[in-house]
Amino acid sequence: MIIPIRCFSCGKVIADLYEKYVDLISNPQDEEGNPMADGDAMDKLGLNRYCCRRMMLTHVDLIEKLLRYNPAERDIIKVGGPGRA
Amino acid sequence: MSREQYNPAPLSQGGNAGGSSSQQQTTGGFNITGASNTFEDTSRPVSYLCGDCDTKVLLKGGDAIRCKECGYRVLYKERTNRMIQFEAR
Amino acid sequence: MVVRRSNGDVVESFGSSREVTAPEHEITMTMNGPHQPTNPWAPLTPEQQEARKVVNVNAETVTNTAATDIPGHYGPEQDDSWNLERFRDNFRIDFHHNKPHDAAFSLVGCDASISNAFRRILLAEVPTLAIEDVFMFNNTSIIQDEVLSHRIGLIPLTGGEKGLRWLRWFRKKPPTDDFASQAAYDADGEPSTPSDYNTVVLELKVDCRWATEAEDGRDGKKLAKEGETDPNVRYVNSNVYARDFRFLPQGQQGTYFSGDDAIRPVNPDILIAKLRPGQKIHLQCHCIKGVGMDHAKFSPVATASYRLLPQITITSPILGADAKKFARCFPKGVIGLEPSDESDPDSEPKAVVKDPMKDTVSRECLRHDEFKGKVKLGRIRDHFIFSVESTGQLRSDELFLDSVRLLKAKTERFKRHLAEFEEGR
Repeated sequence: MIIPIRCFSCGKVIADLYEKYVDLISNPQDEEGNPMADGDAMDKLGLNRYCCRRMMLTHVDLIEKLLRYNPAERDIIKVGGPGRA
Repeated sequence: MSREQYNPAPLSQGGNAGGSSSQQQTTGGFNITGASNTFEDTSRPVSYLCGDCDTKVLLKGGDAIRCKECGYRVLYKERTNRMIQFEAR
Repeated sequence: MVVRRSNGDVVESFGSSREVTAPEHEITMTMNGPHQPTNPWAPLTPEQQEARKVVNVNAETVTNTAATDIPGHYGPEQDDSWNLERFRDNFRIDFHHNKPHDAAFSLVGCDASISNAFRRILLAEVPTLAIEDVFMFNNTSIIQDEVLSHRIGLIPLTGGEKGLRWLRWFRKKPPTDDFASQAAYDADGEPSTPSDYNTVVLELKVDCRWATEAEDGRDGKKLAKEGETDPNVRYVNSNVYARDFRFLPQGQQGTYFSGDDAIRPVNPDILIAKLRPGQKIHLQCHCIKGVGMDHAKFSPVATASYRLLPQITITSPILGADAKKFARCFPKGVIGLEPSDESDPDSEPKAVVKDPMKDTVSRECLRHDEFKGKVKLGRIRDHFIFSVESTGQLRSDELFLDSVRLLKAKTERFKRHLAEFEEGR
């Protein structure tokens, strides 16, 4: 649901790297405006072992979807589309 | 016996079916069926949250279950204000 | 291995013969050849001393895996008895890199049992501070209480080293279904009560709300209606990070954990939970000292591992295109190319072993026919390349020293028990 605090296998802390990882693979990183490849991004963040790499690579951030079921935001979501956070 | 009059029988300590005597009611504060039942106190208002507009709705016993702002009929109980202890494991 | 006695009896011997079993392409070192003197128990020659240190990595098999430095293994004339002087002369530690979160060093000249003891102590027995009890006052986030508690527990904490060492154990009541530890717990001493010398208190209080013009200079609700989707713009405190923890010093803790020494998460950017307006988290944590064998959150290292130093021996020259192909069989930097004739820089290149430390012992070179009989792979049995990756509470090199101290304390306890046993107590 949300990124696990540590790698399941080796115990390295990974929860502080997830936001940086998402930034590297989705926002422009080079002069041509291309985002980084997954593997390069993980190398840059110091995720060297394949156990830690799978944590990033295979994580599905479902919490973003579940957060939309918040009654306090119903009026915003109701008015029209841009509630998609 | 009508449904409203029904009172669940209090659980006898250690004598319940399937439960071993080691399972005592040690976790305090959850004595639902015991003698000190305060649920019958219908004069005190209880606050709920509207499922639609998220406003606080104060209801007493016998009140219509309905949001006073928007008329929505799904109300949620608030989280307990008791402290709950967990093990970080 | 079979030993034939002079009277013709065949005696099965279990690893006590000095003959080195080797595949056909190896130089075999048998003592009982026709030219050799016939003393079967002569001390080992220097070559044999070297060969006994190597684990042979062959194409399909791994041989000579067991250590043979046991007194009497090679007969009465080879002195393999353990000797402090000799150990001191041979033992060596070389650091390759030493960063607080990651140290790599070589432990040369000790037995696998010792280095494995260090590794296991590092993983499971060096005490660290971690969050153990969570007192949840309010949590209306979509992360459930027990999941949130579990996540919080895994956050590594750090603080002043002196203070961390000053902290004492908190004797915690074991779970009611663990009868063995329950009995041990009841047998000695009083249960601990949370005090300044055994418990650290942290608080987390986060409240998510819409960004407002008055407080944040932007109206999140208005921006959201206009199509803003970034939660960091729309809301305040929508992400809960480890840095939001507040340390509440108790009693004497103010003197030990003040300023830069305050108890704090090692990684301030750990994402604990995500909130939306109206949701809040309010909790207090009690942190105690524990060991990794109890729960992985107490383990001071992410990984502590060792590998044996690879050995690559080129037994006959590999030249020209073969040399280039040979270099490609290994990771970068393991094999170098040098002119085969030292006086002539333009001569045919020759493969030389540059840095066996970088090798992964993939055995790729043993798959190619052109290298058959020209190369021998192995690992040095008593050269351990340690890698200790700390989670950040203590420095990696300090952790290794801790493991040495702990092993020493355990040995002393064992000796004391032995003495008591001998005295009949």
